[in-house]
Amino acid sequence: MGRHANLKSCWMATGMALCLILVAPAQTSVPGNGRVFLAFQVTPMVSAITGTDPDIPVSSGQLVEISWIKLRRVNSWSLKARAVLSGCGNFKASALTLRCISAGPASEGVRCGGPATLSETFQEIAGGSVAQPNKRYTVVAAYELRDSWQYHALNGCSINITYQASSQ
Amino acid sequence: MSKTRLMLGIALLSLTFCFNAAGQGWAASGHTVLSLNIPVRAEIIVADNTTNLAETVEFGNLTGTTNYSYRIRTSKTGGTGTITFTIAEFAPADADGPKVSQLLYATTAGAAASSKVDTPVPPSTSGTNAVAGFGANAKTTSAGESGTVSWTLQQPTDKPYPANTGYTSAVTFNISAT
Repeated sequence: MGRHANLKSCWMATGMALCLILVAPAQTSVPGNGRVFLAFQVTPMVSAITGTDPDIPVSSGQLVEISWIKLRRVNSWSLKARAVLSGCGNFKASALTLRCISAGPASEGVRCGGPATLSETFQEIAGGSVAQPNKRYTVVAAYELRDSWQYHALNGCSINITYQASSQ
Repeated sequence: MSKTRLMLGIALLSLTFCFNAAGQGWAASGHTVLSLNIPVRAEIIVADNTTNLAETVEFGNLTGTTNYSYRIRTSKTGGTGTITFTIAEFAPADADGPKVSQLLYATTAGAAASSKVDTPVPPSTSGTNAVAGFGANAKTTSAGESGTVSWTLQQPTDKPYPANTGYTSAVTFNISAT
């Protein structure tokens, strides 16, 4: 909450451009895990995936790189993702899998999780043991689409994917 | 604006430029947008490589049925789909033999189809012939749907076809979706 108060006062005092700089790294609170300090970066911001053949259902989309920095030491952590669909007809998020391709740094015990079937609740895609403060952790993952004849044709349905790291 | 606040503003503005130069910034959680495209698709299988037309009544018409199955999904807005066939004239060419102009056909199709050929009509050798039509947002399951093309070759009563002579006509089916 303290951060929000700072932002608000900054907004009034100096304007939006100057306030943006205070957002990163941000301070966030993860329910059940106490206060966690972290900052995220996801590249690219927009990806696309297209079904190719419902009879050969798995199509790979662009890779996505998720990086984050812990601002304090944690004993174990996991990176999770969830998907919220908009304007997607009868398409289900469960037809999308996020497959961790690489995770690093390996020396820090970072490991890929199994392929995560996306849903509107967070699903783990990677994890690790001790995370050191002020160190950058990166996971590269690939979206996979399991096309099926059960889906209507769609063009440009939008899926918002949120990544979150939580720690114990 | 006080001198202190002005200096703070200049310092933060400089940081903002650095921040922007570095590309996408950091945030409390990561977000990305995935744009999904499920393309239109259409497939057809004609189960009968050969359809024999045979008399059911002596010197009467010759009939036969070609079975086909298909899977299709069309665009939600403005999408269409068609199943058509082209047909070649009977060979060998024979003055007394069958002609495509003596042929009639009618079709059946599954629930996803919006049209079919209910009343027998003569096919054309010069273009495509409709079997079934589909509207926007049409979709079959992975099991697909099936249909038939019923053929009736109208044997002239005054000049029956030559006996023990084989005639063939190539029929090619096509399915498309938009």
